[in-house]
Amino acid sequence: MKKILCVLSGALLAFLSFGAMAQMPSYGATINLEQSRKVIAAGQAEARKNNWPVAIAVVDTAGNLVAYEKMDDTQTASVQVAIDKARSAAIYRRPTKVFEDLVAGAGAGTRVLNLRDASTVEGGVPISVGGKIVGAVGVSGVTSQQDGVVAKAGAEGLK
Amino acid sequence: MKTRPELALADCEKIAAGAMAEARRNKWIVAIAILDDGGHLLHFVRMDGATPASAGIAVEKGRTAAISRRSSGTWQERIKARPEMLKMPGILPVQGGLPILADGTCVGGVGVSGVQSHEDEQIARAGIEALTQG
Repeated sequence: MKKILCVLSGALLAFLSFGAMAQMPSYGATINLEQSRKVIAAGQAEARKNNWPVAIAVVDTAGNLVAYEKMDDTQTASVQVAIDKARSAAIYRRPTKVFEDLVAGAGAGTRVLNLRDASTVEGGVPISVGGKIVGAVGVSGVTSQQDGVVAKAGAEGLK
Repeated sequence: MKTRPELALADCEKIAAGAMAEARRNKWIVAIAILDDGGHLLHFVRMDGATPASAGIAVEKGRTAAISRRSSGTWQERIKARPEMLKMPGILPVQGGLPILADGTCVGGVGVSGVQSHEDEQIARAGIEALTQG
């Protein structure tokens, strides 16, 4: 019985994640440099307000870097982590928090650990313009939840 | 204890602005990467229309200059006589990456990609000059 329940919940999870996938917006025109720098400026404004040193990366729809800035005193590891988060959010068209939650939920959700170039740490979010994904922003430097706050502020800086 | 200068974000902004001004003046479309002396990315811009490949190339040229403390163009010349140096880790032997020197020490590197290699280097040089003269 327990086993069946497990299988059922796995199937439900698979259905839910498929459902979530179906709602993902399409890609639009790719983000330009001016827009990317606006995203970084908005993210940095949020980071400075909280005294959080972070690296912020903006990538295009293909996951290639368009703009990037590392604030003074940001830990070195965050350079690559910020880029990885942005890339993941762009190529999978969903926030890295979605993958983090799937892993935290254990069971079948942990399969995302095996997805190539997927980041399972909060702080990467797609950037949308007019309901279409134009790129993504990735942030690293403080706690992943705080990174997520900065990334969200950055992505909203374009709206 | 020895102390050494370090590039701040404000310095990187000066370098990037100087380099972009040089690129725009020549109607060149490029990617510009600025790295610290450990080869870690500090600042990056890819102008509209620059190829996706230019992003990675700019970073690698800049890293080459930053961690070897000499221009990537120097490496381009070196491998002609010693092609085994192509296997050196972290070295992209293509002109367009320059070390950033301050107080007689290397504090990082600038890498540019998008036009001809000597033009890439011209842009990188303009960026560094914007820092040292600005």
